[in-house]
Amino acid sequence: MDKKEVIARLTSTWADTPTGKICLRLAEGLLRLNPEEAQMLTYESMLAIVDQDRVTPELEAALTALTTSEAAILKAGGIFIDEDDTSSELSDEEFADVVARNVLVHPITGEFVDNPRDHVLPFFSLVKLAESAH
Amino acid sequence: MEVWLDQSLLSSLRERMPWLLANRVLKAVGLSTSQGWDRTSEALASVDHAYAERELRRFLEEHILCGEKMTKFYAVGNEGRAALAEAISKAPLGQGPFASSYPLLLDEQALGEAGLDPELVQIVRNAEGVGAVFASCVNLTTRETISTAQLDEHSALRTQFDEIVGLRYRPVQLFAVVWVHSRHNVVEVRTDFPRGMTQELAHQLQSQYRKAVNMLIGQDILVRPVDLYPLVWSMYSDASEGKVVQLTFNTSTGSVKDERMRRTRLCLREELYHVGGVNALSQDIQPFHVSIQWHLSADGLLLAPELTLAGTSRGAHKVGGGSGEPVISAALIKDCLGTEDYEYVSERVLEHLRRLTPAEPAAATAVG
Repeated sequence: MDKKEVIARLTSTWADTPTGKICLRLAEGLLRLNPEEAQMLTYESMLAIVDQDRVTPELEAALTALTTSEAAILKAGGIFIDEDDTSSELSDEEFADVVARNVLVHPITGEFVDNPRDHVLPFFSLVKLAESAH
Repeated sequence: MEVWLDQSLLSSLRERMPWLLANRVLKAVGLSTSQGWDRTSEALASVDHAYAERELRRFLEEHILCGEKMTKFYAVGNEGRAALAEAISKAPLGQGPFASSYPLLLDEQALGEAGLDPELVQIVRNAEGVGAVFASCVNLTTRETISTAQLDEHSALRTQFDEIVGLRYRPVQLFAVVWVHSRHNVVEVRTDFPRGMTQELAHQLQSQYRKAVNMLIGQDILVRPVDLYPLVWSMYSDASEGKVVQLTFNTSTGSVKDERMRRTRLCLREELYHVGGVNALSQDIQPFHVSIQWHLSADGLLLAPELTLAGTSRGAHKVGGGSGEPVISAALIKDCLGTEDYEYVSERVLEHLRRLTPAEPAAATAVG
């Protein structure tokens, strides 16, 4: 799937909905980025792209679409930062557990982290897309 | 005959190994793990697995030799190394609780009764050299936050404070290894450097073992560790040398930067922001602290050892241009499972030292 196909799919699926408008705006902004600059995008990055000052339900829905739909161009992940300021990137399974069940085992101590959602920095990275055909 | 998995083996691994590594080891020996140590220990409480027990013991011994270490490298010629190897080979093992339980760790109560003095618990020989393994006990202080919600509801502290920090003094069993290389003119002193230990205490322990070695052999064979400061630039600037995950450096524009990669398998050398900053200056940056991670595999196990060379922003030169004591006297080598990954890192350090040595030293003859 190349950039044009991504936009076409988003347009046909989400056209004329509030979520769709943000989704397209976000996708267009993300697809303009140098991939090297899209390794760790935070909510702040997304707010800057869509020129909003807070995360709205529509923005959350747009991010869900861009990470899970057929037109997914983002991969979600998390960085766990403990009380010593040591950070470690979570595996996909670990991140999924934090999101779904708020459960995380400390990578060093092997003990459950209390309320891990408070200690995980969520981020998104741009997936590699196909080159556009000329 | 059923052989239940030795729980003290699991608790020894738990005491020493970061969970991420231990989880990989447990799976590699055919054991199922659950989330975290408590659930895994519970699940393995009544498991009969003789192979796993043998392999876990091997992993524990390897981790004692190579896991979470502060290492100082001493340049020692053939004669000195031969004498030290012989002295180690002839040294009698201790008769105390550390030696009798090796490689298992003593529990907290037994540690309290064992005393603090180091004891020789094992002598190791392989193709790479010969080593003396010592065990000892230190008291480590850890800080823990206590929520006031945990206090008695009538406690006055609940109204006075939102959070209370407690200090816990805990006896911890540590291991140190004096390793005489067979192929290099080097003796390593490796001491455990677990989470929560201060650098000051780590250097004190290093000094203790350096003196013990000199006493054993009756001469000052270990005098000054090799200064690893030149390796900061040497290893940072070698693009084939692992992934730089942290770099701290001074700039000619008057700032100090501490840059860390948060995503795994990405290298600071190639990171857009870092490259842009470096290229904007006509003067080289002056790194004094670097952490490098390698990604290796051996016997189906993924290995990701990490080396840290930690200097200070004062750099190598004093007022007047002179340099004094080694700027970086020790390497911190962590996340090693055993000899395979540890020796890889050690070899990389020695390789860069060789590149930086102006004169060709006399070829090392195998000792031990």
